[in-house]
Amino acid sequence: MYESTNLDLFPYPFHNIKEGSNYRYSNDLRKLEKDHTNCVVITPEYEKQIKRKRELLKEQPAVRFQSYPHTMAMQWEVVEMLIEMAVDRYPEHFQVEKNGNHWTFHNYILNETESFIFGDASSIELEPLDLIGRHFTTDFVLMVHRDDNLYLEVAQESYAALFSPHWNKGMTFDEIHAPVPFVSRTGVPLAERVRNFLIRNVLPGEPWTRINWNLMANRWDVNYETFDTWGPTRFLVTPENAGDLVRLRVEEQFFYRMPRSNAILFVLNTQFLAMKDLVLRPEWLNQTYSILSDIPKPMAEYKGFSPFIEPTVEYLKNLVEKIEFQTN
Amino acid sequence: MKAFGKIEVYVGKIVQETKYIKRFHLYPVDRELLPAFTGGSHIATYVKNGAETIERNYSLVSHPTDRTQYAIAIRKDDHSRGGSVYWHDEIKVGDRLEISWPKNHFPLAFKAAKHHVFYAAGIGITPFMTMMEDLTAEGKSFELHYAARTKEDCAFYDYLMAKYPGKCHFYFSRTEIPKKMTPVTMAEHRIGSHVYFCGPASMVKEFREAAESYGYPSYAIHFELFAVADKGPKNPFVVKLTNSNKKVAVSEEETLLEALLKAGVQAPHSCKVGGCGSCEVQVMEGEVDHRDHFYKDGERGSKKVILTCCSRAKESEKELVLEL
Ligand code: HEM
Ligand code: FES
Repeated sequence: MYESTNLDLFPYPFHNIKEGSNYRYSNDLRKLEKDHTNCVVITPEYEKQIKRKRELLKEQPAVRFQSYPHTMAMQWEVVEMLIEMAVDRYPEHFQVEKNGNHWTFHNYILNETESFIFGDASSIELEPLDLIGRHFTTDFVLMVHRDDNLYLEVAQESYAALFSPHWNKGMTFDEIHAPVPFVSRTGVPLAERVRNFLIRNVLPGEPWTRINWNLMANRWDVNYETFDTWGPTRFLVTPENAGDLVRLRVEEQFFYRMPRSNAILFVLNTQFLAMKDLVLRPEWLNQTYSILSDIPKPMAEYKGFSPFIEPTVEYLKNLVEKIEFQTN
Repeated sequence: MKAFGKIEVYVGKIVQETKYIKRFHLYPVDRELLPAFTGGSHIATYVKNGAETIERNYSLVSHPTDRTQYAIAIRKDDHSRGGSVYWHDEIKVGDRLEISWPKNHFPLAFKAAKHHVFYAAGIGITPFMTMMEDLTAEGKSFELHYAARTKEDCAFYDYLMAKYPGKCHFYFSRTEIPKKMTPVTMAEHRIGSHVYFCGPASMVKEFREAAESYGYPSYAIHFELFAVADKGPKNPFVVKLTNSNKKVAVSEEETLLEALLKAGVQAPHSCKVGGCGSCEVQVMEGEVDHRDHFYKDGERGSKKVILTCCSRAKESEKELVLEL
């Protein structure tokens, strides 16, 4: 479907792991730096990705978009923020005209125009987030803060792994993470700690980020609803074909506290890199090989790559040795 | 509302609310709309005084969905660190300053909250102004108990009387027939009521303890304090940081958070007065002298954590080991 071709825009997941160290779950949220708070990114794959996203939304509307009726005002607040981010970063691609509450949003990459009365859901055919979300390649989730927890009340998802608005709707942060073997290096349970950190530290005007990663065998889109089709392909990987079949699947995540709804907007930018493309950045190749060689069993089981982690590591080992041989 | 981070505003209007309280109206310099906010929110204000920046948090008192301006109300406090005195004596219409986005560490309760009861002492009224606006818009049930010295000293008296008839109970202590606001009224609120306190530390303490004794569940008790509770002398100590591999010395003069930030450690934080939990760090070794008013009593023992903005190492401890 699409692979990242501009490696400068690829969110390599292990930047913040010290050389020689392994990967374990932790509270790895980082505050975004002042000039990097904008989650709108246009990569060379933009049009391809939008096309596929819209197909998925059309094929499985109920699986891909869910919301509660009381979330309309919350969704409009997100619409305003996303449009502002898009126009601010890419004025050559996006433009907005505001005539009182009558807004016209131009997307010049796709040559599309959206006209609506801001705040009036009856002026559009889709729900506000479903409409604006179709102009961006990222997935969007609104986690509403109520008392001590965050509740999933709106979501539009096409790429994020093991995620389904239909399945996850209404769940708390803790319920969503229940399948994850979410413990720290020293065995401390993380869900409550991370949830509290989100509630206390992701504040309006101060967005945060983290990166999630996985490995995919010959498949782009993985959610529970389609497990029967992608589950078996995981057994086809060998040290010879892993370079083509296996991809590093990365989710760059952004967390914005919405000032009026007090919800956290969770944005996921999913990108893929084929194992064979790691040679383009030898330091990535070396580190990825070393990290994949030391993944705890429960984590590999959970992430779903235990059927092919061994041939993949074998492939990377051969590649690392080949490069060392060439440079020596 | 373009960039994240701080917002540049100017003072457009100053109103003498009572003898000691002034209301300041802040307008965005770039004329963009300001972020709307939730009831109970505050902003951090950053005022330049020569080389020094005076940073203070103030609750917003303007309407949560009014995006053309923000208003804050400040009581002049001659005994404070000087922020309010500076605002009262030096700030003029036209002055510029930076503010944070609105943040809320004192949000309205949601689950099973059938009725909301606010107890305000003096300038403690401010966060409730916006909470009552939100509840009114949502058609929810609430009442206000508000203590001041006299009617003249009672900020927003006329506004509240007119806007929320039948919902406000005033207690004036320096009048011919003085009336004292006490916790006993809490015994009468119906089941499912949530209580909220804002005022001096002594008042908040009295009301919290009373609410517990009346059997209010802990999730139904909410409060906000404006200053760190002063709990004993500041002893010097050292922290060892496992993630960044650093050692930082904390002197008698500073908080642990200040020492960490000075040493270039990216320590999370927000309110800086021990009330929001943002600065929590895991403790690997050492005993903590907890000075926050954030954790519930039982939690302090069971969790190995420290709030760096206010808590310190126990007198007997020379060193704490932190996961940071
Ligand atoms: C608030 C927004 C968040 C939402 C909506 C969310 C949602 C999800 C979902 C749906 C999954 C897949 C669960 C499954 O297997 O059924 C997941 C996995 C996970 N989440 Fe979150 N998450 C959020 C924030 C976070 C944060 C802040 C962290 C970490 C510090 C985190 C750490 C993880 C980890 C480690 C996994 C396992 C992923 C893997 O190893 O591949 N999540 N999350
Ligand atoms: S910063 Fe709020 S509790 Fe320390």
